Amino acid sequence: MAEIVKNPETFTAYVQSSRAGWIALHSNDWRGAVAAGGDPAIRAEAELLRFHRVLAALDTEAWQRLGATWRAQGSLPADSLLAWFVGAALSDAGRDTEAAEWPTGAAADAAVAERKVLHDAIRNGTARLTDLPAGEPLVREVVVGGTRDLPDPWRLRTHARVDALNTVALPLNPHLFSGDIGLPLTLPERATDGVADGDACRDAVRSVDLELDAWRQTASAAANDDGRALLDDLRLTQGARARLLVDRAAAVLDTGRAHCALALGQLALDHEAPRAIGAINSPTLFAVVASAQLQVGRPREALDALDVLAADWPETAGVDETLNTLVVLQGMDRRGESRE
Amino acid sequence: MTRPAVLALLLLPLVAHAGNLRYAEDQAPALLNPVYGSSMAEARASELLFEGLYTDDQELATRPSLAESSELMPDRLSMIVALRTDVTWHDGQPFTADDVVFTITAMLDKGTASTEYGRVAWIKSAEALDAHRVRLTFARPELHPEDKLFFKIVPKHLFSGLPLKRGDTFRTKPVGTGPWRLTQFNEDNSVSFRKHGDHRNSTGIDEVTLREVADKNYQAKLILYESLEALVRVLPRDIAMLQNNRKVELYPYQTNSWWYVGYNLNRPGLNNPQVRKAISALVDVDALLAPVGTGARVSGPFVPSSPYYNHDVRLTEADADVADAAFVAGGLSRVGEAWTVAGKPVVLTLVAHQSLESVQEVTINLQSQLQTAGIRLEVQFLDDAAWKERVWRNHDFDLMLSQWTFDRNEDIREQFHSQGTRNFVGYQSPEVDGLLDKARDAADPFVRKATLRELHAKIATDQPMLFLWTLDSYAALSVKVKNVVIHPFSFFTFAPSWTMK
Repeated sequence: MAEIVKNPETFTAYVQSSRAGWIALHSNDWRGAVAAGGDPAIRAEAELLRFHRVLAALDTEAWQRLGATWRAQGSLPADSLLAWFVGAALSDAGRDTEAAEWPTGAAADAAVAERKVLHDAIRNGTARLTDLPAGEPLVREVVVGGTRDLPDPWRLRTHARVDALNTVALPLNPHLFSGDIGLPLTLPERATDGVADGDACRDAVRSVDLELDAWRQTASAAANDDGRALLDDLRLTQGARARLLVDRAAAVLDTGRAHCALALGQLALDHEAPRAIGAINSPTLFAVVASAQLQVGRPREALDALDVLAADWPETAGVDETLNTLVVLQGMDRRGESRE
Repeated sequence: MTRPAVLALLLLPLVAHAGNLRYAEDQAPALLNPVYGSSMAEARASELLFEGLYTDDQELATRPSLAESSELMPDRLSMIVALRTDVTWHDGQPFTADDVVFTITAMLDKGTASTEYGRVAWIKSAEALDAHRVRLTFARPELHPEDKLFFKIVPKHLFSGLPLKRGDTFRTKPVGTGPWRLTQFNEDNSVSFRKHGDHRNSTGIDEVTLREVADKNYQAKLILYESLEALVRVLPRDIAMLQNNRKVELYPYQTNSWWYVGYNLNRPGLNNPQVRKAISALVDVDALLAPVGTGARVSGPFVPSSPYYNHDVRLTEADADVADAAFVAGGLSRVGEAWTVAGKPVVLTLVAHQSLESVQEVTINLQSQLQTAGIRLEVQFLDDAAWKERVWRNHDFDLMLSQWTFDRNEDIREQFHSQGTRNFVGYQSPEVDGLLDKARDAADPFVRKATLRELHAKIATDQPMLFLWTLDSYAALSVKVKNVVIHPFSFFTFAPSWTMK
């Protein structure tokens, strides 16, 4: 980035090859970048893969928590495929020990069995993602007073598998300008207490921010007018910072440090446009925050993050509904409070 | 606020020292009796002072607070709650079963006119079995009654009897069992709290000070100048400034809060759905929202991320043709530039609480939009006492601008049921009452979810309110405050575990 700012013509020359793709990638419009082809498409495929992996893990966790919560309340309906779906989601994620606690075997419902066959075909490349029916639910059960709509438990992992097939070569860093700031974010060792772990990760980001402020001042001072305009207009520093934090948040999420991931995600968020995807806020940011919120026991807050994705990423409808149901279930016997 | 006034605020003799957390409210609560809670400021202060039998843990699951344990009878029609024996009130008196029975009985007493009546209406009776055991009997079988026992308990020995009165001296001299006790209301409208030394749990903050900062524009400056440690809600325009400041941490947090313009359905004309439809169609909600901040439009009584939000319901859109047709269908005539009824120009009175954020921008904009379309709108800004009198008690308004904030249960029964205690607009719909009952009684979460989505659609069609928006919520805390977990509704529920450097 320092080189780009000092010699902005380098930037112009580089992006000229696939201008539309770079613009899309810069604004975290990964599907647009893929459609444009070229170098940005390769980077965008890598982003899509990570995004769908985070969402798939979130979906599995949502199924697990829904089933476990309902079972613990002692009212999990015996006449529903829901328990089977929980097992299917866990099994698909390779969480076999937990899956063993739920009904397994062939799906009792023909439509469900047929859907599973289709997913397998898409994942091994003999069918296309577009063959997958877009809408939810997969199963509608009629119950007293209404219906029970169960979404497809395999959809997001299939998206991730297709992304993996499409990701021909994983670049070292999917972002053009993120690698050379030279500010490694060294996270502390995991603290025993989750909230303290989040605080420690916040402090680490704060240290990086102080260095980043200084770096930005230096870079700006050394840049010519065009370079400064690039730095400011494209929000290069902020974008690079956000990507760094989201990368680390996704990584620590995989190790169970949900409070740390949540802190990193919240610090990465562009608070001036907190409900919009753009140069700072990537779809993965919202997926990571949703996943972290669920892991720290706040599924209602996870819905807030998912809500941002709903319009542009219809494949999130299923996990959204599973979380919706979990939230409703957790409040079944509560009496609400309201204030002006 | 003038510059000297700001300086005065900054120089207030509220000495910052380790262990003193100062937070801002737009308006200091005038009443700290949880039996009469109505504002979010009161809810937050109550969280410092009072406790319920049960509360939330950090994952928002139910855990005992003043209760030690409970036993639900096999018929689920009663339960026995065993109380903690190590609890004292802030005045040193022991907490006993009599306090629990007194609180419930007082809230159930119609003469008390508790704003929290709905939270105990499911309890038929409460009886002290001994000093630390209470039997609660229910109107209907309950599955997990402890989930409803979050309301705050007040001390029997500080009231002269039943019913309670809003004006009881307790309102300004509250005594609770919570982790902080009130020390005084100060002359500058701040309120001071000090750690309750006998509380069973240690707290990391010795003192809490609620500072009234009526002009929200200065709240962010005060935290930057280290004259505050916490802002409960940051104005959208201040977010960028705070985001780039290294002494302040922003915490986005989820609130189920939405704004609305309520139509008084007891007023002639406004009880006509065509007239309400017409007025709603005159309002460009996006233009109202733009100067207020970032948020999302809502089409009904839930926020878009709610499990109950019906995404098939469309947002209202400003459409002069729709408005014209609906006014005519509603019996109005246009004479010149003005809409008239029986030859007289329509003049509506809109009331708004003076401390509502950005209230002037919104009302002036709304007034202008309606005026341009031929409806004269007279706006009245009410202080807290007048608001309670005009809106809560007398329902004396044509239109009201306000917001509701819900805990995560998003229980809108009190606002929309024909018998609801917060149904200020006088909405009466047997169909909605039936859906609310069905949702309440549903044993299956899928059924409740679908029922409340249906309810959303029905209410949106009836338009007892013009639903406006939900705003993004951020708290700001000094980086000196650590271990921060914010409760999405009560804010301070987990504050006892906060620490300060």
